[in-house]
Amino acid sequence: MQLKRKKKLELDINVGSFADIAFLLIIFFILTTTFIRPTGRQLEIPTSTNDPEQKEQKQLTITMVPGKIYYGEEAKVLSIAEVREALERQNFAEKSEDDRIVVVESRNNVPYEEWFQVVTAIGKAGGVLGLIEEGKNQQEGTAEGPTAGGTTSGEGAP
Amino acid sequence: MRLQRRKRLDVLVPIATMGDIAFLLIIFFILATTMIREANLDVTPAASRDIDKQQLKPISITMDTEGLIYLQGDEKDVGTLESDLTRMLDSRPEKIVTVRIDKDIEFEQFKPVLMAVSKAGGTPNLTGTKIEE
Repeated sequence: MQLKRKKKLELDINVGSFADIAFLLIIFFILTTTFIRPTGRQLEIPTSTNDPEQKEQKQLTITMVPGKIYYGEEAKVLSIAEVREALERQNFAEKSEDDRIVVVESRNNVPYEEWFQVVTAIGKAGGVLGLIEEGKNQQEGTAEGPTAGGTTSGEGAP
Repeated sequence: MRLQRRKRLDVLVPIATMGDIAFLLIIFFILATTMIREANLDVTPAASRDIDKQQLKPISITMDTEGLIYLQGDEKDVGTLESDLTRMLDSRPEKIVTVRIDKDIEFEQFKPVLMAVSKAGGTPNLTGTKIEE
């Protein structure tokens, strides 16, 4: 008896549309990709403890309470634009690294945006931001913003 | 006089390799893309005039509207942030850390984050929205 030979099935993968699919994927990637370059400022933040010896060094100090910026030893209340101008006048580029440190003391409730504007102005002017960390034997609150100027009315020097 | 008819040139663009080129482009895009893990976090950036365009750095810390801290998209406790960052930065030549903090977060909450970056040997790159002059 003669058996009928099974016909071999010819399997072909249709690759004709591969290029179309690939190009569609490329178009998808191009359209959905967001090229992000964040805007910001790099800041060196040397940490230190708040001891009285350091206070004796003549470092520029900016004290912040919500809505108010006290600038320098005289604790003048300045707007952010005035702070920017005052920092530019400091000519940090011609100073040594120690003299470029600007100490920023802030009240605990200062919002980030206000603080961000001050520290980015310091960075742009060429200053180095100094954050005061409370010393271990320091009384709580002494390193955090003004002692007298922190009233809600904001009157008086820090 | 009988003029000879000009032969029409058969112009064929070879498109057989188009698929290969397309797939090579896809592979390039996939490899060159940096996926941002923190894209879903709720953060309103702070605005400033004194900031410029920066390079996107691989290590980032985000503090959202509720004050939760995320390192590379994973929620972290402020207590362990410094040690985690130190471990990460030790293996990298570049020490810049992109810091994104919600504009309403108070100093008391964000200060420990900046301290942790500084103590871990990192340089914070504070990001926000540029106010045009």
